[in-house]
Amino acid sequence: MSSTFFLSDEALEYLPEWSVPESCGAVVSFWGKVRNQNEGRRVQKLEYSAYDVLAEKEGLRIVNEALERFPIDVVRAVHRLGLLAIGEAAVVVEVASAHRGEAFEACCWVIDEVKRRVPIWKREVYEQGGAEWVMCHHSPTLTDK
Amino acid sequence: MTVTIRYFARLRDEAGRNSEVVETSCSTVGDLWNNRVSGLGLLMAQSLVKPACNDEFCSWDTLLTPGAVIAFLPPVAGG
Repeated sequence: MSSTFFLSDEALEYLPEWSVPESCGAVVSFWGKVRNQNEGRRVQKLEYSAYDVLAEKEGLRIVNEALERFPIDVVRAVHRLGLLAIGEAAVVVEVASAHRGEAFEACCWVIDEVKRRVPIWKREVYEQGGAEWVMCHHSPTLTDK
Repeated sequence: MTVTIRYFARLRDEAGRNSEVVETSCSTVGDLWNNRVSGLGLLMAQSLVKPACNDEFCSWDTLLTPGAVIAFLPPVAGG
């Protein structure tokens, strides 16, 4: 069994290929990409920043928890930092296991936990000017007491 | 005692700085937050902020120690 989590300043498309044990019949990959709009506004690019030391610790905790929760063999996640153009990959999660059910399930769980727990932030820059820090949908209003 | 405070993302904008070194008599991380809310005019509700101490998540009740590096984290938005 193995697990990896890291942050990358380089485009994820150029990461080295990951090898999968021969015992695995299923590999599920999730690629989260930068889309060209959010809530009705045209997005030009995204900027990701992180509390890098803590983000890598928490990301590693998540992939290790995935190994305990699901009967999977390999789980890897990588999150991009820096300025990303439309269409670039922001996050990749890959899970390999003997059968597909647990690989799909673990992959979903990992990306949800990454979005919920890892101290990474994104700032959208809009085509019509301006930029804003993005809030997740489950977050309350910023000034709610 | 002296502590370092780091600010991230929207809180960095609100604080107008990445980090600062402050001399403080606050005893907990929560007291320090309240001190910086009045000192810097931070607008974000405390309920949205997560604190960290020395590169690990902590609670608002965590006691400050000399030389500690405290971070205030706004709601995360990776992925």
